[in-house]
Amino acid sequence: MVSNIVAQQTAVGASVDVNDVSHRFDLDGKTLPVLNRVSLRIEPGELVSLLGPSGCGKSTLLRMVAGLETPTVGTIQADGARITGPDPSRVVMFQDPTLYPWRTVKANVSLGLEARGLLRRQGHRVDEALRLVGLSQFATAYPHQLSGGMAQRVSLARALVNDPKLLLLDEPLGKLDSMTRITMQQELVSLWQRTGFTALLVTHDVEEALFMSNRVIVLSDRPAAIKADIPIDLPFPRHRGDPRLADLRRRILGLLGLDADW
Amino acid sequence: MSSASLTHAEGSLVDFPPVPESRTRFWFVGLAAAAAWFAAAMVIGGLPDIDDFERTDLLARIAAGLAGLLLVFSVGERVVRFTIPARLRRTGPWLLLLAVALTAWELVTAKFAILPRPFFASPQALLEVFTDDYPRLGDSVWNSVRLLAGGYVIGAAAGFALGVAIGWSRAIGYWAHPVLRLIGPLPATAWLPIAFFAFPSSHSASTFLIALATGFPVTVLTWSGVAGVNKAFYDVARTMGASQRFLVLKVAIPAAMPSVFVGLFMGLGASFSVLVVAEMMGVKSGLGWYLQWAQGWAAYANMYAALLVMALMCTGLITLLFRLRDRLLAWQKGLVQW
Amino acid sequence: MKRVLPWIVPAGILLVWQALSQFGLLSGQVMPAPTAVAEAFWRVTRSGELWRDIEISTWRAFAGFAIGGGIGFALGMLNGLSRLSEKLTDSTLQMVRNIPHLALIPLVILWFGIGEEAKLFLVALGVFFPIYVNTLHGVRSVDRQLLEMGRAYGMSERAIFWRVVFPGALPSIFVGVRYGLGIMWLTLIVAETISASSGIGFMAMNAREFMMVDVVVVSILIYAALGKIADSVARLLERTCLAWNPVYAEV
Repeated sequence: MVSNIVAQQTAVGASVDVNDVSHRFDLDGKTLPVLNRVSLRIEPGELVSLLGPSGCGKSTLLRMVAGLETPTVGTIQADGARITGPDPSRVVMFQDPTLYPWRTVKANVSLGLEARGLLRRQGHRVDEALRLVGLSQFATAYPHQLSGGMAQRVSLARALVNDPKLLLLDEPLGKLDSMTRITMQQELVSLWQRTGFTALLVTHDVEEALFMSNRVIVLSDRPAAIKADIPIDLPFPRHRGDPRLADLRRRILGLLGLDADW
Repeated sequence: MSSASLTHAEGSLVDFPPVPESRTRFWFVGLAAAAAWFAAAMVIGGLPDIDDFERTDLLARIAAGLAGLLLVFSVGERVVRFTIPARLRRTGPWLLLLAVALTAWELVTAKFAILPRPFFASPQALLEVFTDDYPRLGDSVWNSVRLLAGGYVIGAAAGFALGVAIGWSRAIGYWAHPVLRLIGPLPATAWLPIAFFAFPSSHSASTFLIALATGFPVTVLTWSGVAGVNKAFYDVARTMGASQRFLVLKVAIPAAMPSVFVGLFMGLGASFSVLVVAEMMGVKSGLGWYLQWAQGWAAYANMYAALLVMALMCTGLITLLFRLRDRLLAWQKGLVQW
Repeated sequence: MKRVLPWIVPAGILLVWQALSQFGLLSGQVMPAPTAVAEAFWRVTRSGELWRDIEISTWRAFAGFAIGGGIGFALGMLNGLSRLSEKLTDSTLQMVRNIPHLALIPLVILWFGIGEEAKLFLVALGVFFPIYVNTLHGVRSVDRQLLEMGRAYGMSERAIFWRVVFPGALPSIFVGVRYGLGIMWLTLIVAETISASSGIGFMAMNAREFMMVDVVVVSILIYAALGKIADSVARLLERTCLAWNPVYAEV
């Protein structure tokens, strides 16, 4: 699926430091703590998964790393520089493709370059990104003409065109059917291997986390704290039936309080 | 249409050389319409009128002419190398119905006066208005369109700008909201008396009223359109380094456009009403004034003619706006059913 | 406090307006001072003139609304449920809809004179279209699956209408009602201004003849208040009738 013309302009991945971050929301005068003293370091080029029960605050943590929200307490740094706002070097891929329905596929992918006024000089990268996700023939289609999987691929191309040092994946495959999901997991892994960006993946799918990442961070219930940091020292591409993955899976499910089912 | 390929298949099944002229089925509806128009011409020209109408002959001739044209079209397709435009073909049933309706109308007015006399005008009386009074009528249409266009454009532009500002900036929305709440429930026509006092000329007062009638729905719907934009759309653009300007121009406004167009349509409908009333009460020109003038003379035929013209004008303008929307919002096709 | 604060703007406008009139910068012939308007309001209230006019205007408004809305609702339902009836009438109605109904005023005056019928006819005609269009749209947008389910449970056609079609169309009908209420006042104002010997519109017109701008402003304010009240009542009804609908389940 992924073409062999690899983007040559790949930058080295960024490192991320989350320093003792706590966060709370104010809802109707009540405070709702969502994160409790989270500290974390992600090395350049790592693919790290955040796993936790739904609503525990993992997406909030990701939005903070993206710069879309500011932590109440603590700081987050990318490559040693404090994150104060969004930056094109850290791009998010959301659960919904969030493509602009009024733009064609190509115009959607161009978004980042256009926003920064680089479209005229670097327009060719749009075509490269589309080729990378295998959607060149759909350049002139409108989003409503695409299937869910295709739309999510466009969303990936739209992220990649910015040449990110850090790709933030907010349950990007959560709404896809299981077949498409498996294909796209493989695609994402091979893309990550070849380009070398750092990636942070938020997911609630244990298998997905095990199949794709170097490390799995297991978070507790809200307010989320880090429960376990599990390295997965297995080579890529991984085999879904690997008994070592099954062991890890059991351990993680136990951490999530689901061991009774095993 | 797949009828072409169908006849081709038939041609090869039956062992005849294909005849290129007879591609499509014979246009029976066209022939029937021709007959109906011919009948209409006979009724109009043949039966005696109940009163002196000057344009009875002309009307009969027009009907006969239409009948002849339709005959040529429907029969000519067989004889000469020629295809009837698909659009004409589709209007066939309508042309037929129109002829029947005209005949009926003619019978109940000009021929037997079944409908009470002064209240219902005959077709030839209407025709007479168009042939004899067209300078005044044409002038009225032109004045109406000019007045409407001025007010509508000002109102739509102001409403759009205000709506975007209110929807985008929390602060502006906060202060503007009560003002809109106060003005909102007040029908545009309620301003009439005061506007004619406050403005130096009736033309400027009417422009203001039309702009107001247009501006309010456009403001409200632009505002709700901008406020209703999926927040994730902004997040996406922001993570890719978009400026505030980009967020407004390239995200908020395009996303709000469908809603803006709803406002534009509502505004157009409202502006028609205000236009007519303003012309009746203040501006001494335009179709509203023409209607008023016709009322003074109890000239029913002129009034019906003016109403017909007005219907055509309004339909034309609404169609124009529809076209514009379909062009600008082509991306919506299949997304939302209109 | 947060809710009161933005009302400072309208209040400020009022104050500036008063000041401008006070210092003679704004001619009373163009725009009377707020105090003058209040005075005029007091004057017409005391003479009893105002109440009579409000009463008659309200009666006209709602009688016209009931006639036009009733026909619009019935026809909308009929055309929504029967394709044949829709084919017969809908395109004609859509064509007539494009003529602004206020353009018919001269014709209506010739037909009915300046009696009550003229005003009722105009209001009814104006209200008819929004109610008709929205009822039709509402019936058409009723969830097909709900209809199928009703049939599968063996509900009678009558029960399906009252339990499925009507409630399903109700949100859209309410949109039509609120829109129709706006048109109702808009029409009545004009109708009363042009041809009436009573009602608020007549009061405004009469005052305009005698250059009593303050009374004109009073009548505009009355119209605004009546419009607001009618809209609020419709909104309240909407919220109680549609409590099941998540759109209206606001806090």
